[in-house]
Amino acid sequence: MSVTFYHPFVFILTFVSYAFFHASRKTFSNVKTTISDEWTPSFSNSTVNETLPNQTWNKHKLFDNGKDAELFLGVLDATFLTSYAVGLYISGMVGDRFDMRKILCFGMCSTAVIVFIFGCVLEWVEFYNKYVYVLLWIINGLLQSTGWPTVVAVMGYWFGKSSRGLVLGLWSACASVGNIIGSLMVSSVLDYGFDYAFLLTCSVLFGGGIVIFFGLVSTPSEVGLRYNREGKLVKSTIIVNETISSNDRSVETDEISAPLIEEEELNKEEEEIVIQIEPRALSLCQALLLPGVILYSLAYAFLKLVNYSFFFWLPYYLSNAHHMAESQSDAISIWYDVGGIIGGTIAGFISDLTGRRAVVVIPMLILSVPALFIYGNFTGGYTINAVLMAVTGFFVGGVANLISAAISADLGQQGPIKDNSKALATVTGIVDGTGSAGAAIGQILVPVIQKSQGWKSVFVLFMIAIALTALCVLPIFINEVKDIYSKYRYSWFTGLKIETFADRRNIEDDSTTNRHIE
Amino acid sequence: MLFSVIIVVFTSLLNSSIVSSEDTDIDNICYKACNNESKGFLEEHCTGVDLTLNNSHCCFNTSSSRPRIIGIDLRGCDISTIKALDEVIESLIVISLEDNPIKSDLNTDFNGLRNAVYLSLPPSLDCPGDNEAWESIEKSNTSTICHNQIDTCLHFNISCPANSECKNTGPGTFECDCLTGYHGYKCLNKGKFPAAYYGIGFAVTTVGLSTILWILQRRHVIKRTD
Repeated sequence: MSVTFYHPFVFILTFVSYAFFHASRKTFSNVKTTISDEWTPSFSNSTVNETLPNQTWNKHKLFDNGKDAELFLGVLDATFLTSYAVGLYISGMVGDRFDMRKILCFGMCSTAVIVFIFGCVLEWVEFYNKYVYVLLWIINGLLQSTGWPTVVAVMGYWFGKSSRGLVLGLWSACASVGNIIGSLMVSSVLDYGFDYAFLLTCSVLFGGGIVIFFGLVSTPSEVGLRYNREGKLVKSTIIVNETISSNDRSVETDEISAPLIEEEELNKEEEEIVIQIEPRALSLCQALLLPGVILYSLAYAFLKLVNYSFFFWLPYYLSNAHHMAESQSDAISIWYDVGGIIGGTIAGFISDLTGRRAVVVIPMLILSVPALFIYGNFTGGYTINAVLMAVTGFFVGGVANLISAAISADLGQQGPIKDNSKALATVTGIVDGTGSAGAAIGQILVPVIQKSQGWKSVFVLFMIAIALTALCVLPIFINEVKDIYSKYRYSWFTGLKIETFADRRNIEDDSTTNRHIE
Repeated sequence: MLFSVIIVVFTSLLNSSIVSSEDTDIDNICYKACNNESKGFLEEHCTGVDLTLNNSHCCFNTSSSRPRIIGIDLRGCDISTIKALDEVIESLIVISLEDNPIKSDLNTDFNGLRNAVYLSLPPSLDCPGDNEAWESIEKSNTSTICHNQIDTCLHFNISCPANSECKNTGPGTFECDCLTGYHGYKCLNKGKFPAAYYGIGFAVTTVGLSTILWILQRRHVIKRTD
């Protein structure tokens, strides 16, 4: 495939904008202690009354004590996750119907404003009200959900299927990088007050939105490029028409030669004139019924339950079950991310080579069960814990990254709808939305099970969830294996044949018809 | 809008009138007609500092730019409350309130009396903060005299929450005040956010990046004519 001057910029811009979204979420979870301090009165442990002056120590009485405040913060997390899940279905569709660049810009800037109101304005005017906080976090979840479908769709349009696994695997690091950026920003300004931690993250998010508006080229067609049948980017003269009936009139007038920076990479013969009909966006139901969408959505719901439980509960698990210090458990949870990035990238690369994703997903899911079992039953030092954590992250987080990015993009651009309809953002929204719903359920299940049955049972829950994930992917896996097997027999008669990407693509383009003919 | 302006004006007027009435309260008290020989008491206790007696019940410390009342003798002044002293209570060192029908709530009204070393009260009253707050208490038929206030922080060995320190605020009372450099609710904040630098840096970066990326990227976008 040909890489143009635009590709690295698209990669970096989408990467950074999603990282900033995640940074704002991380900010919230990292200032939780300070916020619950801010919301509660303090009681002195001395013999003489409560600490005075009241103005300094007891004025804020949103909650009686830190425990209630923490509980409420947990409610806010659940609220966010739920509205985020709902929002993903909506914003995916919106992303396919409007300019993704504008949707992303709107999402970033409006999220920044909500976070600013939540973290700064309400603190500065000393207005504390539970219902207002919940309302703001619902809006925040809805607005933040614009991020993922649009950035994945933009990446999907720019990076063709042949390299998508590897590129999106690397690109999936954006969430982890965002977490690190968020932590750094919080720790650098928390001394000034938690409101400044919010100010920093929301202003960066706002600025990012503006830069996206002026800098992001959301699809190759915007600069006169398109993917041809061999999966190569070619310069194309685009004639865009609303309806086919008006074609005749605009063929001559709308002819524009597109500028291309690395023109020598593209052969002149490849230049083609295409009459491109403005692609129609699929409806939610149509997108849902695309092959593989429901199966992968359900699979991701079970998988994200495990994945998010690791994010939210791992530090607590380590300090609760292994009696680890906070800084140490934070450091270990980074290894889960590291494992996830490496796993997602390697899995993506292998799936690019084979041209199929499920054949990589299933083995990794099977291997993640023993990894979870060992991690759940293990007691030992920091180093071994970190290594096991990275291994678990490699399998669980790696598959999660693969499904949420590369596979979602594949599903939204698959054979039957490739050229004449837009479904990339919608499908990404469906997959991630279902996944987030699963994660939200996990947030309720994990503490309940942990309290009544203990941590061992939580790990059993994780293993069951992984098994269910595998079950959902299994039909696709069987299909892909059959496909490979049939091709293997075919090459047996014609001699050893190395399957190229172009072959694969041609086959896939007519996959629905061919399969029946064979 | 107009309504709120009226409210603001009204409240500010109200505030200023309260302040001025308090000032006159103090003046009234210092020059109140009382049944005592005030000079004798004040001359005995207001020694060793640069003071002016000013022909009143009060003695002042004039060493600072604004004279502060440090001693007050209200014996037999027929006062029932010491609320009028609120404004000067922090600077008072010697106070005599004998022969008065005082009905004040001693625990709250003496809050802020942190410098007092001599306090005499009608015999019916006990020293604020009780025995723990004074080095010695002298009870007689005519008066209760509280000598040498004890620092509450030191006496109870009080430990304040993080970033704050204990400060004696009167007999038997204390406050936790933020350490220097700390501020805000529960003294959680330290220092001041460099808002101006950050704002300028942020604006310049955003505009700069937007411009550069527009030149490198979106400038090439083909305008659609539909």
